[in-house]
Amino acid sequence: MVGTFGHEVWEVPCKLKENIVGKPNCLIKGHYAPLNKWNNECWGLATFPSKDKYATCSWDQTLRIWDTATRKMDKCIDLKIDAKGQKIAVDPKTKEAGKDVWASSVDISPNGAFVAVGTFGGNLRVWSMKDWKIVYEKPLCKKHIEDLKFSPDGQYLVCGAHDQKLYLYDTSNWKKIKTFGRSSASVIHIDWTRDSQCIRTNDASYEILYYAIPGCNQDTSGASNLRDAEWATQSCILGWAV
Amino acid sequence: MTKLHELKGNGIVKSVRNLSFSPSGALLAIVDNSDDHNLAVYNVETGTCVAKAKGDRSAIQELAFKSETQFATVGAKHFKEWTIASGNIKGKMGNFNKKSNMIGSIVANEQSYLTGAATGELFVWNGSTLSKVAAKNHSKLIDAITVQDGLVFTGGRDSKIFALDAKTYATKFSIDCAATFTGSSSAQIRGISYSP
Repeated sequence: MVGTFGHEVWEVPCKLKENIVGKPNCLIKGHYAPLNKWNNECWGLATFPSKDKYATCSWDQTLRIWDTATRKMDKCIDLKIDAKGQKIAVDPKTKEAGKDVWASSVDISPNGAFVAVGTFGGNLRVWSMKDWKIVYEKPLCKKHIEDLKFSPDGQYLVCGAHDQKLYLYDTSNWKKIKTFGRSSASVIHIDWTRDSQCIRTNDASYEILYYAIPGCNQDTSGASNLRDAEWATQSCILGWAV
Repeated sequence: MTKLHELKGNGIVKSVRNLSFSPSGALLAIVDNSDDHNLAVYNVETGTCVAKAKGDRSAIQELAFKSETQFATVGAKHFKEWTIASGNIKGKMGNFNKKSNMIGSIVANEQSYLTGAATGELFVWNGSTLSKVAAKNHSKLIDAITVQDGLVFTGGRDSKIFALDAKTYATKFSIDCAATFTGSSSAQIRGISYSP
């Protein structure tokens, strides 16, 4: 039994008398800590619409898909590989992967077609889950994308970043519709209403802001207008329900 | 599974870095992550502290018992052999004999200690003196050592495992984990256990 730095447990069959080593079998895999610092954080978690799988992403520069029933890893995507299949060069100063590949938020589209990942360095990357090809890849800003969410109807993707802005995307052609937001601090949580008409955000200054989509205009009376709205998720740590 | 004892205090002021049982299982030694890398030895049955001491200013990585009264701690620029006698604990600094003092792992083998160095060398210690270089199989730090079933297994940051005869230290076989652990994120070895 062998434990590795890559947070894996391998079983290696050995015949000691003949000094023969068999084929290793990996029993457990997990996110690991390749960065030379005191922690390597795991930020992103999203369930598949079918709930039989979930995705996690971490500063270890991987996106991993897990099976809910067996609790085993199905797939591991390396963020250091770009859309052309090329390995992204390490930062020459630190000799480590740059923050633009430290994954920090993940969401899966309601029809299960796309998985989107936001990174600590402000990159957005979207995969088509059918063939795991990258369909969109772009630096949105230089700051941490802490949350991103697909609308319940699957038409939009909204990303919230530490540059106090929100980024709205059309998922049919992966074109950016608008950069918006009136937060006075880093955007940290986003929720959609079930009808995909509105979003609410929490930011680091403990404000709840409401916006109408796709116009992206702030609804300053959102707290009362949307008092009885049904929300698709409850990511916000502030609001009527908490 | 039921909790027998909660071991608190007795000099352990920060998170536990590592722990090790004595050969009979009667004693448990703990080292913490504080600046002094404090040590505490407990009686497993009663949960009482038998002895405590400041470890070293250098970071302690691992520790291993050789007998019911002696154990050793290792780390970066650190080797100390500790002797427990009637509630007192005394540490003796290791003599590295001009060999590498960056130690990553330790295990007891009969009446000696085996330690893994940053140079990839496996050292044999007679008490607190480095007596012999048993092997130089690895090219990087040895993070994992275990002695089981008459074999010494060493695993290192060079992603290799070697199995040596526990008496002669002759290399029996090796595993190239970087080549055979297909799909591994990093095959640097952090722990080995053998089931006979």
